[in-house]
Amino acid sequence: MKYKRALGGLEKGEITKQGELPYADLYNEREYLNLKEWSVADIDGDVQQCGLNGSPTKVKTVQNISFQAKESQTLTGSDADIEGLIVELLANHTIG
Amino acid sequence: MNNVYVYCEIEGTTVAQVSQELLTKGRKLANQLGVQLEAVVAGTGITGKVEKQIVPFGVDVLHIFDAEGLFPYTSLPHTSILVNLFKQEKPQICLMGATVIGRDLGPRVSSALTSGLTADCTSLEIGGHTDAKTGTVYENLLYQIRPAFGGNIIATIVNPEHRPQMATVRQGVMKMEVLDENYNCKVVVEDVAKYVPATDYVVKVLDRHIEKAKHNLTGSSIVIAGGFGMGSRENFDMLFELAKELHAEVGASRAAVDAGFCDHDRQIGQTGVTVHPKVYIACGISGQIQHIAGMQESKIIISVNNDPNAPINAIADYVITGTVEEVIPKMIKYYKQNSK
Repeated sequence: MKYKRALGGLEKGEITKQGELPYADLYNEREYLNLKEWSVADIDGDVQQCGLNGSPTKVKTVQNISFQAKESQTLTGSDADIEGLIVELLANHTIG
Repeated sequence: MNNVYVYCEIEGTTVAQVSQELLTKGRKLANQLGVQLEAVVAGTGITGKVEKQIVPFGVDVLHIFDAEGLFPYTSLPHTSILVNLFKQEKPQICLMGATVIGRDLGPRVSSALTSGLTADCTSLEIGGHTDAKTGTVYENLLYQIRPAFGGNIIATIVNPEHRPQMATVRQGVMKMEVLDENYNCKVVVEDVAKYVPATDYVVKVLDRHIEKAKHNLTGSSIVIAGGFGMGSRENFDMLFELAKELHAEVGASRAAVDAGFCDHDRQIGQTGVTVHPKVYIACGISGQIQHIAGMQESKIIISVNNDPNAPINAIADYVITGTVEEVIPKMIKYYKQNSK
């Protein structure tokens, strides 16, 4: 809970655009609530490799998955049905 | 130049099955693109021992890196081999297995070459792409296809501008098929020192302990899988008994593994193994998409579930509506009675 009100500079900017920053005094009293932000330049990074444009991989398409229901044979748990299935699978060499 | 490459993983002098599956796929991709298939293998004492496990899959050029320190696998030497070889040979595609080694090596190589990598692909195809922003048209790109967002979508990913286009694939996803036992291949035994600096051998493996696999789930032609509907670890004994009769292997859904009914190494699905057996008997498995992703290629699917509306029933060839406690003992009984 110590860091509950912690904010970075950009976040504070967004909040103050819309009104006063709540608990503003706290940020002067408690230095740890002011989060340091690093830009790509600060770490000598290559901007060309950042963000969606910087990714070598691109998503071409996205498809929802819907399984094609197939025609299936429905059986009960009765002795006749189970034995019938086993005999059929043995006869066509699926098992055994 | 511009060829398809497959990194072949080895254990001692045995080439991993996943690498052979990727050689089969690589050959098909190379044929489509009108280019050569090249393979890279790195280890110790492998020259003369690995060729017959690689070349018959249709490899045109085999690069062998054979030196002390290359087996067991450590990150830096193998990364240097691929990075420096690729800078020289400029492949258009590189495939490797989505194994412990592949998950370490792939990102290191793609990061060094800023080439981009798609992990755990379930399908690879060749096709065109038009960039919506710039209108640039690309031909003959590798479509790296994989499920995403918990398996609720299938994403097709491309690397339009960066090379090589890298992808990892799990074992069992692609088929393995020998092309020609006497395929004509150029074998190049490379000078390892030219590709790997001495400083790369900073990590030395002092000892290895290998636990023998308890089962061959991915290779079994009949798989009997139990889900959360099995209810208990004790109920899984029924599946092991049926598996013994059918010469099958036992698998499990993630829900069953998480509930402690079965060991993790038998988990089938997106975070487990992928199987494509002749027969898949799903017992008490609801059929969540993440599980189906690991078994949907099964030739015949039999579902045993007391819920007639279980999602798995939609893809099953036989749907048995009943409890596992009722059905499985009957399957055992009637198999013993009717088989020779």
